[in-house]
Amino acid sequence: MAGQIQKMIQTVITQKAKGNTVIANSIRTKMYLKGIAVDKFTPTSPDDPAVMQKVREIAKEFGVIV
Amino acid sequence: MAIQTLSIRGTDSQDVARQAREALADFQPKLLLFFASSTYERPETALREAFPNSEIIGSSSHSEYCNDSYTSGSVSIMAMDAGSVEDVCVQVVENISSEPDLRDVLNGMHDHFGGVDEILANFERYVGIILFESSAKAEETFMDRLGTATDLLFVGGSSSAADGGQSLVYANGRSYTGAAVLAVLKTANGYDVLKTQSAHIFSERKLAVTRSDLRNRILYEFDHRPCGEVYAEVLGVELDEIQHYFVCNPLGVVAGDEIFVRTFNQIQDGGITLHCGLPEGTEINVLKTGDIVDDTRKALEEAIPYQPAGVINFNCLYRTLEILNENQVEPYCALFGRYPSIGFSTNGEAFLGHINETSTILVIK
Repeated sequence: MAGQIQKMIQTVITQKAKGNTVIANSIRTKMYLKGIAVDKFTPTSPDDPAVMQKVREIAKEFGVIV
Repeated sequence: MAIQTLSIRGTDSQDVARQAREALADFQPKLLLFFASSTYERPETALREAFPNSEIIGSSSHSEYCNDSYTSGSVSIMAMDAGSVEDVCVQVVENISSEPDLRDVLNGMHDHFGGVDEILANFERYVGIILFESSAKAEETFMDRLGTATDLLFVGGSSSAADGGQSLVYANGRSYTGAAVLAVLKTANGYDVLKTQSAHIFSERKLAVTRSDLRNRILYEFDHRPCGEVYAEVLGVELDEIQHYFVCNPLGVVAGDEIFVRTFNQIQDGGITLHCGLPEGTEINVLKTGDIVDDTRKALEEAIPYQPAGVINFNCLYRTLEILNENQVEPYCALFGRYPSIGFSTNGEAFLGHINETSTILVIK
Protein backbone atom coordinates (compact mmCIF):
# COMPACT_ATOMS: atom_id res chain seq x y z
CA MET A 1 0.00 0.00 0.00
CA ALA A 2 1.05 3.56 -0.62
CA GLY A 3 -0.33 7.07 -0.28
CA GLN A 4 -2.14 6.60 3.04
CA ILE A 5 -0.08 9.24 4.82
CA GLN A 6 -0.97 11.94 2.31
CA LYS A 7 -4.65 11.01 2.61
CA MET A 8 -4.51 11.16 6.39
CA ILE A 9 -2.81 14.57 6.33
CA GLN A 10 -5.40 15.93 3.90
CA THR A 11 -8.20 14.61 6.08
CA VAL A 12 -6.81 16.42 9.12
CA ILE A 13 -6.43 19.70 7.21
CA THR A 14 -9.83 19.50 5.53
CA GLN A 15 -11.75 18.55 8.66
CA LYS A 16 -10.05 21.15 10.85
CA ALA A 17 -10.19 24.02 8.37
CA LYS A 18 -13.84 23.61 7.39
CA GLY A 19 -13.21 25.61 4.23
CA ASN A 20 -11.25 28.45 5.86
CA THR A 21 -8.04 28.81 3.84
CA VAL A 22 -6.22 30.75 6.58
CA ILE A 23 -6.89 27.95 9.05
CA ALA A 24 -5.96 25.31 6.44
CA ASN A 25 -2.58 26.97 5.94
CA SER A 26 -2.01 27.31 9.66
CA ILE A 27 -2.82 23.62 10.24
CA ARG A 28 -0.33 22.67 7.51
CA THR A 29 2.35 24.77 9.17
CA LYS A 30 1.54 23.41 12.63
CA MET A 31 1.99 19.88 11.24
CA TYR A 32 5.39 20.82 9.82
CA LEU A 33 6.42 22.20 13.21
CA LYS A 34 5.24 18.95 14.85
CA GLY A 35 7.65 17.04 12.61
CA ILE A 36 5.46 16.04 9.65
CA ALA A 37 6.87 17.32 6.35
CA VAL A 38 3.44 17.69 4.77
CA ASP A 39 4.46 18.25 1.14
CA LYS A 40 6.89 15.35 1.14
CA PHE A 41 4.07 12.83 1.11
CA THR A 42 2.52 11.94 -2.25
CA PRO A 43 0.12 9.24 -3.52
CA THR A 44 3.16 7.00 -4.06
CA SER A 45 4.78 7.51 -0.65
CA PRO A 46 5.20 4.22 1.23
CA ASP A 47 2.88 3.70 4.21
CA ASP A 48 5.51 4.03 6.94
CA PRO A 49 3.77 2.76 10.11
CA ALA A 50 5.73 5.09 12.41
CA VAL A 51 4.75 8.18 10.41
CA MET A 52 1.14 6.99 10.16
CA GLN A 53 1.03 6.61 13.93
CA LYS A 54 2.46 10.10 14.40
CA VAL A 55 -0.17 11.58 12.06
CA ARG A 56 -2.89 9.69 13.98
CA GLU A 57 -1.64 11.21 17.24
CA ILE A 58 -1.61 14.69 15.73
CA ALA A 59 -5.10 14.14 14.34
CA LYS A 60 -6.29 13.12 17.81
CA GLU A 61 -4.80 16.30 19.31
CA PHE A 62 -6.77 18.28 16.73
CA GLY A 63 -9.93 16.30 17.50
CA VAL A 64 -10.01 14.61 14.11
CA ILE A 65 -10.36 10.86 13.49
CA VAL A 66 -8.39 9.46 10.57
CA MET B 1 -7.59 58.40 15.97
CA ALA B 2 -7.98 54.70 16.74
CA ILE B 3 -4.38 54.03 17.75
CA GLN B 4 -1.78 56.25 19.36
CA THR B 5 1.87 55.42 19.98
CA LEU B 6 4.19 56.92 22.56
CA SER B 7 7.87 56.64 23.41
CA ILE B 8 8.49 57.91 26.92
CA ARG B 9 11.66 58.26 28.92
CA GLY B 10 10.85 59.09 32.54
CA THR B 11 12.62 59.52 35.82
CA ASP B 12 10.71 56.47 37.09
CA SER B 13 7.59 54.44 36.33
CA GLN B 14 5.29 57.00 37.95
CA ASP B 15 6.77 59.70 35.74
CA VAL B 16 6.27 57.51 32.66
CA ALA B 17 2.64 56.85 33.60
CA ARG B 18 2.02 60.56 34.27
CA GLN B 19 3.47 61.50 30.86
CA ALA B 20 1.39 58.81 29.18
CA ARG B 21 -1.81 60.00 30.88
CA GLU B 22 -1.12 63.59 29.76
CA ALA B 23 -0.37 62.55 26.18
CA LEU B 24 -3.54 60.45 26.06
CA ALA B 25 -5.76 62.90 27.96
CA ASP B 26 -8.53 62.84 25.35
CA PHE B 27 -8.12 59.19 24.45
CA GLN B 28 -9.98 56.22 25.96
CA PRO B 29 -7.81 53.14 25.37
CA LYS B 30 -9.55 49.81 25.28
CA LEU B 31 -6.16 48.10 25.28
CA LEU B 32 -2.81 49.49 26.25
CA LEU B 33 0.25 47.51 25.15
CA PHE B 34 3.64 48.54 26.50
CA PHE B 35 7.25 47.46 26.25
CA ALA B 36 9.22 48.85 29.17
CA SER B 37 12.96 48.85 29.59
CA SER B 38 13.77 46.60 32.51
CA THR B 39 15.39 49.62 34.14
CA TYR B 40 11.88 50.70 35.26
CA GLU B 41 10.49 49.21 38.45
CA ARG B 42 6.86 48.18 38.55
CA PRO B 43 5.68 49.98 35.40
CA GLU B 44 2.56 47.79 35.42
CA THR B 45 1.37 49.26 38.72
CA ALA B 46 1.93 52.86 37.67
CA LEU B 47 0.18 52.36 34.32
CA ARG B 48 -2.70 50.54 36.01
CA GLU B 49 -3.27 53.53 38.28
CA ALA B 50 -3.07 55.94 35.34
CA PHE B 51 -5.41 53.91 33.11
CA PRO B 52 -7.83 52.11 35.46
CA ASN B 53 -10.44 51.48 32.75
CA SER B 54 -8.13 49.91 30.17
CA GLU B 55 -6.86 46.39 29.72
CA ILE B 56 -3.08 46.62 30.04
CA ILE B 57 -0.49 44.08 28.93
CA GLY B 58 3.25 44.37 28.42
CA SER B 59 6.74 43.02 28.61
CA SER B 60 10.10 44.08 29.92
CA SER B 61 12.59 44.90 27.20
CA HIS B 62 16.25 45.12 26.36
CA SER B 63 15.46 47.88 23.85
CA GLU B 64 12.38 49.42 22.36
CA TYR B 65 11.05 50.70 19.06
CA CYS B 66 8.43 53.41 18.50
CA ASN B 67 7.54 54.75 15.06
CA ASP B 68 10.92 55.71 13.54
CA SER B 69 12.92 55.59 16.76
CA TYR B 70 15.04 53.01 18.54
CA THR B 71 15.67 53.47 22.25
CA SER B 72 17.00 51.73 25.31
CA GLY B 73 15.85 52.93 28.70
CA SER B 74 12.40 53.97 27.46
CA VAL B 75 8.84 52.73 27.46
CA SER B 76 7.01 52.24 24.15
CA ILE B 77 3.23 52.34 24.42
CA MET B 78 0.47 51.59 21.95
CA ALA B 79 -2.99 52.73 23.03
CA MET B 80 -5.90 51.27 21.09
CA ASP B 81 -9.43 52.61 21.44
CA ALA B 82 -12.72 51.09 20.31
CA GLY B 83 -12.11 52.44 16.81
CA SER B 84 -9.45 49.76 16.33
CA VAL B 85 -10.13 47.17 19.05
CA GLU B 86 -13.79 46.68 19.91
CA ASP B 87 -13.19 44.17 22.67
CA VAL B 88 -10.31 42.35 24.31
CA CYS B 89 -9.97 39.35 26.61
CA VAL B 90 -6.76 38.92 28.64
CA GLN B 91 -5.65 35.74 30.40
CA VAL B 92 -2.41 34.78 32.13
CA VAL B 93 -1.07 31.22 32.17
CA GLU B 94 1.50 30.76 34.92
CA ASN B 95 4.16 28.09 35.34
CA ILE B 96 4.30 27.35 31.62
CA SER B 97 7.25 24.99 32.03
CA SER B 98 4.79 22.50 33.57
CA GLU B 99 3.22 22.22 30.08
CA PRO B 100 -0.32 23.12 31.18
CA ASP B 101 -3.42 22.03 29.28
CA LEU B 102 -4.69 25.18 27.59
CA ARG B 103 -8.13 24.03 26.48
CA ASP B 104 -10.04 25.50 29.43
CA VAL B 105 -8.22 28.82 29.11
CA LEU B 106 -8.93 29.07 25.41
CA ASN B 107 -12.52 27.90 25.76
CA GLY B 108 -13.03 30.71 28.26
CA MET B 109 -11.52 33.22 25.85
CA HIS B 110 -13.70 31.93 23.00
CA ASP B 111 -16.77 32.20 25.24
CA HIS B 112 -15.94 35.80 26.11
CA PHE B 113 -16.69 36.65 22.49
CA GLY B 114 -19.73 34.40 22.14
CA GLY B 115 -18.05 31.10 21.37
CA VAL B 116 -16.01 29.41 18.67
CA ASP B 117 -18.73 29.73 16.04
CA GLU B 118 -18.76 33.54 16.37
CA ILE B 119 -14.98 33.63 16.08
CA LEU B 120 -14.90 31.35 13.03
CA ALA B 121 -17.70 33.32 11.37
CA ASN B 122 -15.71 36.54 11.79
CA PHE B 123 -12.23 35.06 11.71
CA GLU B 124 -10.77 38.05 9.88
CA ARG B 125 -11.48 40.25 12.91
CA TYR B 126 -10.13 38.11 15.78
CA VAL B 127 -6.43 37.84 16.55
CA GLY B 128 -4.29 37.04 19.56
CA ILE B 129 -1.21 38.63 21.10
CA ILE B 130 1.08 36.43 23.18
CA LEU B 131 3.85 37.62 25.49
CA PHE B 132 6.11 34.98 27.02
CA GLU B 133 8.37 35.54 30.00
CA SER B 134 11.46 34.02 28.49
CA SER B 135 13.18 32.32 31.44
CA ALA B 136 10.81 29.33 31.33
CA LYS B 137 12.20 28.27 27.93
CA ALA B 138 9.00 26.40 27.20
CA GLU B 139 7.63 28.45 24.34
CA GLU B 140 7.72 25.73 21.66
CA THR B 141 5.63 23.29 23.70
CA PHE B 142 3.25 26.07 24.74
CA MET B 143 2.75 27.23 21.15
CA ASP B 144 2.19 23.65 20.06
CA ARG B 145 -0.51 23.19 22.68
CA LEU B 146 -2.01 26.60 21.95
CA GLY B 147 -2.20 25.63 18.29
CA THR B 148 -4.21 22.53 19.07
CA ALA B 149 -6.50 24.33 21.54
CA THR B 150 -7.53 27.11 19.15
CA ASP B 151 -7.53 28.12 15.50
CA LEU B 152 -6.97 31.75 16.48
CA LEU B 153 -3.70 33.18 15.24
CA PHE B 154 -1.45 34.39 18.04
CA VAL B 155 1.45 36.74 17.33
CA GLY B 156 4.07 37.84 19.82
CA GLY B 157 7.40 37.29 21.43
CA SER B 158 9.39 36.54 24.55
CA SER B 159 10.50 39.12 27.08
CA SER B 160 14.01 40.50 27.23
CA ALA B 161 15.90 42.67 29.69
CA ALA B 162 18.69 45.21 29.75
CA ASP B 163 22.00 44.07 31.28
CA GLY B 164 21.35 43.15 34.90
CA GLY B 165 17.60 43.70 34.55
CA GLN B 166 14.80 41.26 35.23
CA SER B 167 12.74 39.70 32.47
CA LEU B 168 9.01 40.01 33.18
CA VAL B 169 5.63 40.08 31.50
CA TYR B 170 2.73 42.16 32.74
CA ALA B 171 -1.04 41.99 32.77
CA ASN B 172 -3.50 44.34 34.45
CA GLY B 173 -1.30 45.61 37.23
CA ARG B 174 0.71 42.46 37.98
CA SER B 175 4.08 41.17 36.87
CA TYR B 176 4.88 37.53 36.13
CA THR B 177 7.85 35.24 35.57
CA GLY B 178 7.61 31.85 33.89
CA ALA B 179 4.25 32.85 32.46
CA ALA B 180 2.47 33.66 29.21
CA VAL B 181 0.11 36.60 28.78
CA LEU B 182 -2.59 35.98 26.18
CA ALA B 183 -4.84 38.65 24.74
CA VAL B 184 -7.52 38.01 22.14
CA LEU B 185 -8.54 41.15 20.27
CA LYS B 186 -11.76 41.71 18.39
CA THR B 187 -10.53 44.27 15.89
CA ALA B 188 -12.84 46.84 14.33
CA ASN B 189 -11.38 46.64 10.83
CA GLY B 190 -9.36 43.45 10.72
CA TYR B 191 -5.67 42.64 10.85
CA ASP B 192 -2.78 41.10 8.99
CA VAL B 193 0.07 39.02 10.35
CA LEU B 194 3.54 39.21 8.94
CA LYS B 195 6.59 37.11 9.67
CA THR B 196 9.91 38.09 8.18
CA GLN B 197 13.38 36.66 8.63
CA SER B 198 16.59 37.50 6.88
CA ALA B 199 17.51 33.90 6.35
CA HIS B 200 17.36 32.07 3.07
CA ILE B 201 17.94 28.48 2.03
CA PHE B 202 21.68 27.79 1.79
CA SER B 203 21.37 24.15 0.77
CA GLU B 204 18.38 22.36 -0.76
CA ARG B 205 19.51 19.18 0.99
CA LYS B 206 16.86 18.14 3.54
CA LEU B 207 18.16 16.87 6.87
CA ALA B 208 15.89 14.71 9.01
CA VAL B 209 16.12 15.12 12.77
CA THR B 210 16.50 11.51 13.95
CA ARG B 211 17.52 12.11 17.58
CA SER B 212 16.80 15.17 19.70
CA ASP B 213 15.78 16.28 23.18
CA LEU B 214 12.92 18.68 22.47
CA ARG B 215 12.39 19.78 26.07
CA ASN B 216 16.05 20.68 26.61
CA ARG B 217 16.49 21.99 23.07
CA ILE B 218 19.36 19.62 22.26
CA LEU B 219 19.93 18.29 18.76
CA TYR B 220 21.91 15.04 18.44
CA GLU B 221 21.46 13.46 15.03
CA PHE B 222 20.57 14.23 11.44
CA ASP B 223 19.87 11.20 9.27
CA HIS B 224 21.12 8.87 12.06
CA ARG B 225 24.54 10.56 12.13
CA PRO B 226 25.99 13.12 14.56
CA CYS B 227 24.36 16.44 13.69
CA GLY B 228 27.60 18.42 13.81
CA GLU B 229 29.20 16.06 11.30
CA VAL B 230 26.29 16.43 8.86
CA TYR B 231 26.12 20.21 9.37
CA ALA B 232 29.85 20.48 8.57
CA GLU B 233 29.34 18.33 5.48
CA VAL B 234 26.56 20.59 4.18
CA LEU B 235 28.67 23.71 4.73
CA GLY B 236 31.81 22.09 3.34
CA VAL B 237 33.90 22.93 6.40
CA GLU B 238 35.84 20.97 9.01
CA LEU B 239 33.91 19.66 12.02
CA ASP B 240 36.02 21.65 14.47
CA GLU B 241 35.10 24.88 12.69
CA ILE B 242 31.31 24.61 12.79
CA GLN B 243 30.73 26.91 15.75
CA HIS B 244 32.08 29.77 13.63
CA TYR B 245 29.12 29.27 11.29
CA PHE B 246 26.36 29.03 13.89
CA VAL B 247 25.28 32.68 13.55
CA CYS B 248 25.45 33.01 9.77
CA ASN B 249 24.07 29.55 8.98
CA PRO B 250 21.12 28.74 11.26
CA LEU B 251 18.62 25.95 10.63
CA GLY B 252 15.14 26.32 9.22
CA VAL B 253 11.94 24.31 9.01
CA VAL B 254 10.68 25.09 5.52
CA ALA B 255 6.89 24.86 5.39
CA GLY B 256 5.83 25.68 1.86
CA ASP B 257 7.03 29.25 1.25
CA GLU B 258 7.61 29.97 4.93
CA ILE B 259 10.84 29.48 6.86
CA PHE B 260 10.81 28.96 10.63
CA VAL B 261 14.32 29.69 11.88
CA ARG B 262 16.04 27.74 14.67
CA THR B 263 19.33 29.17 15.88
CA PHE B 264 22.26 27.42 17.48
CA ASN B 265 23.42 28.02 21.02
CA GLN B 266 26.47 25.87 21.69
CA ILE B 267 28.04 22.42 21.38
CA GLN B 268 27.11 20.47 24.51
CA ASP B 269 26.69 16.92 25.80
CA GLY B 270 27.46 15.25 22.49
CA GLY B 271 24.96 17.44 20.68
CA ILE B 272 24.26 21.05 19.85
CA THR B 273 21.88 23.15 21.93
CA LEU B 274 19.43 25.36 20.07
CA HIS B 275 17.28 28.33 21.02
CA CYS B 276 14.20 26.36 19.92
CA GLY B 277 13.76 22.61 20.23
CA LEU B 278 13.23 20.42 17.18
CA PRO B 279 11.00 17.33 17.40
CA GLU B 280 12.27 14.10 15.92
CA GLY B 281 10.99 13.59 12.39
CA THR B 282 11.34 17.27 11.47
CA GLU B 283 13.06 18.00 8.18
CA ILE B 284 15.25 21.07 8.08
CA ASN B 285 17.45 23.01 5.71
CA VAL B 286 20.67 24.83 6.49
CA LEU B 287 20.12 28.56 5.95
CA LYS B 288 22.28 31.60 5.29
CA THR B 289 21.56 35.02 6.74
CA GLY B 290 20.90 38.02 4.53
CA ASP B 291 20.27 41.77 4.65
CA ILE B 292 17.82 42.55 7.46
CA VAL B 293 16.81 46.01 6.24
CA ASP B 294 16.31 44.98 2.64
CA ASP B 295 14.39 41.81 3.50
CA THR B 296 12.20 43.67 6.01
CA ARG B 297 11.42 46.40 3.47
CA LYS B 298 10.32 43.84 0.89
CA ALA B 299 8.19 41.99 3.42
CA LEU B 300 6.46 45.13 4.70
CA GLU B 301 5.77 46.51 1.24
CA GLU B 302 4.34 43.22 0.05
CA ALA B 303 2.16 42.66 3.12
CA ILE B 304 0.94 46.19 3.90
CA PRO B 305 -0.28 47.89 0.71
CA TYR B 306 -2.48 50.23 2.78
CA GLN B 307 -2.20 52.66 5.67
CA PRO B 308 -2.66 50.57 8.82
CA ALA B 309 -4.00 51.87 12.13
CA GLY B 310 -1.02 50.38 13.94
CA VAL B 311 1.88 47.97 13.63
CA ILE B 312 3.41 45.90 16.45
CA ASN B 313 6.91 44.54 15.77
CA PHE B 314 8.35 41.69 17.82
CA ASN B 315 11.92 41.87 16.57
CA CYS B 316 14.51 39.31 17.63
CA LEU B 317 17.22 40.74 19.91
CA TYR B 318 19.83 39.15 17.63
CA ARG B 319 18.43 41.19 14.72
CA THR B 320 18.58 44.35 16.83
CA LEU B 321 22.21 43.65 17.72
CA GLU B 322 22.97 42.93 14.06
CA ILE B 323 21.50 46.20 12.79
CA LEU B 324 23.33 48.06 15.57
CA ASN B 325 26.55 46.33 14.57
CA GLU B 326 25.99 47.13 10.89
CA ASN B 327 24.98 50.74 11.63
CA GLN B 328 21.58 50.07 10.07
CA VAL B 329 19.32 51.29 12.87
CA GLU B 330 18.19 54.42 11.06
CA PRO B 331 17.14 52.75 7.79
CA TYR B 332 15.51 49.90 9.73
CA CYS B 333 13.50 52.26 11.91
CA ALA B 334 12.55 54.39 8.91
CA LEU B 335 10.66 51.38 7.54
CA PHE B 336 8.42 51.38 10.61
CA GLY B 337 8.25 55.19 10.83
CA ARG B 338 5.74 55.04 7.99
CA TYR B 339 3.16 53.63 10.42
CA PRO B 340 2.05 54.23 14.01
CA SER B 341 4.19 51.42 15.40
CA ILE B 342 5.86 50.04 18.48
CA GLY B 343 8.11 47.07 19.08
CA PHE B 344 10.81 45.61 21.25
CA SER B 345 13.83 43.34 21.03
CA THR B 346 12.60 39.85 21.83
CA ASN B 347 14.19 36.69 23.17
CA GLY B 348 12.21 34.56 20.74
CA GLU B 349 9.27 35.22 18.48
CA ALA B 350 5.87 33.57 18.23
CA PHE B 351 3.61 32.82 15.30
CA LEU B 352 2.13 29.32 14.90
CA GLY B 353 5.22 28.14 16.74
CA HIS B 354 8.25 29.46 18.58
CA ILE B 355 10.79 31.02 16.23
CA ASN B 356 14.28 32.52 16.37
CA GLU B 357 16.04 35.32 14.48
CA THR B 358 12.74 36.58 13.10
CA SER B 359 10.39 39.52 13.26
CA THR B 360 6.74 38.69 13.87
CA ILE B 361 4.46 41.60 13.12
CA LEU B 362 0.80 42.27 13.89
CA VAL B 363 -0.79 44.84 11.61
CA ILE B 364 -4.05 46.33 12.85
CA LYS B 365 -6.13 47.79 10.04
